[in-house]
Amino acid sequence: MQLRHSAAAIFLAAALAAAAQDSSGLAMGGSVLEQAYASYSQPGGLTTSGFGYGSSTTLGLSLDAKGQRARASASLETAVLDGTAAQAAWLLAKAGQVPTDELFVYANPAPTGGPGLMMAARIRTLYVKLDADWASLIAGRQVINYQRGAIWSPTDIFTRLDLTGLSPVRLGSDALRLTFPLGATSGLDIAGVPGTDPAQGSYSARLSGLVLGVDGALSASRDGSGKASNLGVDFKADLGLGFYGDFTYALPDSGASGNYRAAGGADWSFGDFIVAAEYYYNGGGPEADLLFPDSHNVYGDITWRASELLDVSLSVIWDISGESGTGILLASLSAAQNATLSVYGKAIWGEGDAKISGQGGAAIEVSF
Amino acid sequence: MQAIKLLSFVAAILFSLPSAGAWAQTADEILAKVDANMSFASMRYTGRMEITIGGETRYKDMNAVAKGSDKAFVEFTNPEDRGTRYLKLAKDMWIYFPKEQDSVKISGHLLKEGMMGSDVSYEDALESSDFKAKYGISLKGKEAVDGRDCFVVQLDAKVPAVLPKGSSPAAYDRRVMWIDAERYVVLKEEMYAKSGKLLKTSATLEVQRVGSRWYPSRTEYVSKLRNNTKTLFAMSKIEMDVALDERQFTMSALTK
Repeated sequence: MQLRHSAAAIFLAAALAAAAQDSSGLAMGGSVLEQAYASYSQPGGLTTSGFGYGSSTTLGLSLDAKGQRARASASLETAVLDGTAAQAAWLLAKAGQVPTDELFVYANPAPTGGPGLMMAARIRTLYVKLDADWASLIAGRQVINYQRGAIWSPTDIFTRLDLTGLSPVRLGSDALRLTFPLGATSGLDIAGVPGTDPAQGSYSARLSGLVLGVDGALSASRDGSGKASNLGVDFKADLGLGFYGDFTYALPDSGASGNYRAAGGADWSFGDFIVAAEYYYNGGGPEADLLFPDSHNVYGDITWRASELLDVSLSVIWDISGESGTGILLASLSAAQNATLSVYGKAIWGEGDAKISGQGGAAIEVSF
Repeated sequence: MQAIKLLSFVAAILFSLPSAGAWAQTADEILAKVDANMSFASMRYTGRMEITIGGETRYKDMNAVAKGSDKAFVEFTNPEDRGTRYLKLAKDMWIYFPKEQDSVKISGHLLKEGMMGSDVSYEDALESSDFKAKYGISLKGKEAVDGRDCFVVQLDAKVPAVLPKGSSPAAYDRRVMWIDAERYVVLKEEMYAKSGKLLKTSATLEVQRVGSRWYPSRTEYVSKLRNNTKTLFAMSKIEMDVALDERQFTMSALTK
């Protein structure tokens, strides 16, 4: 085990050095996001019950060193969490639900009821890429995104969504990935997330391309932790409205009969409104999808372009079978060059034993 | 005849609002001269969009490369949009959003949307530069624009039934262009709907000498479907006929 880790470290260091030596461009950017909110939660939820106030200040940094044949990239965040934001993080940690790319640090020894202040560190991505004429190798923490829809993609065994914020965030995987371009719009993509035990890892081969105006892909994957092998197909096309579909059939190692998961959706617009709707069927239960373990789920979003600077959107994710879900009403204003001001209200139904919890707040993000 | 592009937004490439004029014998000569100005084997430039909305202005900076009129790749570099990329391959276009780490094919209802909040739609960017195939072209006369003599050329959309198989219909029912009679650059253009409503205008504010050709380097676009907005597109560091790596124009490069 130690030997393998050492070999991986040497490989990463060599690739990083190659990227640095070959570098013809270094780019750095980032943002600061300040979010403050008031919240309410009934007893039994995943956050502290009653009324509360929380805030978070997040510094995000991205670094890119790009050469002709090599690239190194990093996207890092650090945040200070206060009030119920710290409490929520603390409870998540207690429940073992800390996002995989996150590290919580107690600013002070935690009192019995949880800390009043915490820090969080997140490594969103950290990878190197080497290009040859016929293939590219990407190694490190990266987002392998095969997703067609907004929320669900059964064929994508790598992408995990963090839905705790105002919009879904895709979490990175510590992966090795080989891509073979087969023309401008087609390619073969082989990826593996071996983890600490390769037998429990996830692996996938995916052939994608643009055929008759339809973006489509066929994939075969192995989900070691779910102990199943999958075959999948996904596509995105346009018939006046955009629509997409995603289907995967899983064969469990146990010899039990196979199951399938499928998602389909569409987006369209009328006047100043943009609408998206998505449905997800999970025939594999919690073994196949921990985040959405129930059979029937829907997502809807309507965005009103109130002006060229202001968008107002309402989005809902609803677990029909489990009668739980989340709704977010969000207004985003381009307040100044590189600055966005958001005001939002968020309601969560059926989280834990609580019937409802809610949050209302404002956020301002400045990019640099 | 080789396709022609006149006014360009993201340089006769991505956001291009290509335009051309041709009529009878003389039309061919004008066409050839405009074509000589606007056509390129490859191109690289730095661009800036200044989108004015009421009293507010937002800047979008970009680096762009293009091969002919069919392949283009644009990457935005201003802080708010850093890493947002566009790939155009013939009549297909994809956009990559770095925050969402998602690529989306521009199609359907999205075609009518303004690119990056600008006054130029994706449909404008994707319209084929082969105007002779899509429009009937006629000379309407001569007029001066900012003191320069111009040919006034009108393009009327052909009905879909007579279009070449597989080609998309014209984006506008009618376009009127004012073409500089000396430099063969479109200095002004108006685009109309079938109802006769004026949908969009463009005006070339600066023409630059690039090698042996004239090229519009600052152009202002106004969408009449929006309230009190305009978009100024300025190009700098324009290089024509440069060596470009073919791999830049792939899905792999878009999502790198």
